[in-house]
Amino acid sequence: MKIKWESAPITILENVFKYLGFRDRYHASQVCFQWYDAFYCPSLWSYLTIDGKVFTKKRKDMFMGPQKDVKHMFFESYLHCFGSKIRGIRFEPFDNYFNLYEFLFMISKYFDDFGTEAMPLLRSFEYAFFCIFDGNVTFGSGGRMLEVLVKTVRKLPSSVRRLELSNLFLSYYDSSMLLNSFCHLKHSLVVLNISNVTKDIRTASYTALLEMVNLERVSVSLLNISEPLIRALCCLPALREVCAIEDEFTQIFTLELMETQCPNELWAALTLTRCLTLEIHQDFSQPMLLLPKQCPFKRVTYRSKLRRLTIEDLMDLQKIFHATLREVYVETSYKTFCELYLPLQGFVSVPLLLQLEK
Amino acid sequence: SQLSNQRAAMPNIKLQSSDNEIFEVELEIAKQSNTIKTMLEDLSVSDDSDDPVPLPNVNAAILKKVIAWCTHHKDDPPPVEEDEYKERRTDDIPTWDLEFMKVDQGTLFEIILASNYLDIKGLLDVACKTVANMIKGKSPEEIRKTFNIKCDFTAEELEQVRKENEWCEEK
Repeated sequence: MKIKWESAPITILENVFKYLGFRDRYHASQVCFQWYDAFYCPSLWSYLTIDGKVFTKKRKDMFMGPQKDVKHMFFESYLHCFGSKIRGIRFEPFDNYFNLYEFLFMISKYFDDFGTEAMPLLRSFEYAFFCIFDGNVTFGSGGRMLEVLVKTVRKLPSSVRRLELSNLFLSYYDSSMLLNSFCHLKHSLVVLNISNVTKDIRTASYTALLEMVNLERVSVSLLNISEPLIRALCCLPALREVCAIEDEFTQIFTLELMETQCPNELWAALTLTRCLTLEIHQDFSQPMLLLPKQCPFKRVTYRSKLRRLTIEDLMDLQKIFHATLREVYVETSYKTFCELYLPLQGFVSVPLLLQLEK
Repeated sequence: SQLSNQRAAMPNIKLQSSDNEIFEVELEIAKQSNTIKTMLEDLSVSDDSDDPVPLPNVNAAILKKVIAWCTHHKDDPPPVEEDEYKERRTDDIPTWDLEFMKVDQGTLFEIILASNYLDIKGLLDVACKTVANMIKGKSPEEIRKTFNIKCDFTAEELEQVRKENEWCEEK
């Protein structure tokens, strides 16, 4: 007997459904039994992105211009229907703080309503805040917005392995509150990114980190690299990689950055069994040159949509970090990952890079 | 020259369709199919073996299409890992593939089954995107018509299914 569309293997329908939005999936679910089953494939609903566009509808406002309203009923129905299948939540930075608050509020309410049953499969929670820099001051999160975030983070299930809370630029007090809000995950967290969590770049309290016994990878802003942090990181038994992130906010603080002092013994202790890496997320400005020279980076990764790495950049890298640097990665907008080894004598796979430049 | 030597050295293998037609293709092209690749590794078939690889689930007409696709895409870079969070686009199908996929829905379905069986990710993805594009914006009845599907719900069941996820309809 010939197989037809109504008896297509679920894996194939799953593969088709993943290219459809909610509405089209819903229409397809009404076609026949097999397609109805495909609608409920867990993989179709495992990853939730909040980017300011999904779960909203457009509205024209006479005074404010085009607006995006949160579809509350829709989002709540979605959570009720598929919350138990969600494996990852990612908040991308967007500037509609009102909507951001609403989404966080609804997720925290879902956690309240369903308690420990809510999202038993959740592995990853990523939250990047849309902070504003006006040339002098960085305006980060705080107040009610932080309150609802902390409330949500406190309720995250113990299945969470990866937690990212970036670009919040909090005050000292607020950052302590946030860093203590995931104490209950101290045995489960494996990957943590708290890049730019605080405004007071040297003085965040990292005592909460000390109990994270299974933490393998920590990402912080280059700005937050400081003696107390390094000391805290040295105490983590499972830690394998410390990643310093340089982004558009780093340059704002370059003066302070140059004063970074950390005893050499401490660096040695940190990097004895762990790999220190640098990630550069930059599109426009010249990166790197003001880096603290004593940071023993082993790997540098460029993540840039617009800016390409030049030979001069590589020369600079080699000049500054030649004693420790072994790998440089470049990630372009085409998602090409190109690797380049730098043994002391020079560049090995430069032709590969040049090919990429074309 | 070196180039022509390389070309001459490129080994071929034979593939046998379900209706016993034999196709001779370059090994590198055939190896885009993970199924064939694994078969060759498992059987440790030597390069000079002349026995065709049997593909009992693919007929000659479809195998011909599949080989044409693999030949055109033989220099493609390996597929990148997908970002699970990103909405999947369907408007990025290359022109050649768009032309290639201009077939009736029956053939399209057989291409999908074949690429699934042969485990050729690139072909499976582009075929599924094509199907998704045929579904988008259509009502359930229109989808049934497009793919020649018989509705196997009773009227009550259909009503229940419709109610169940009605929230998806909210504009």
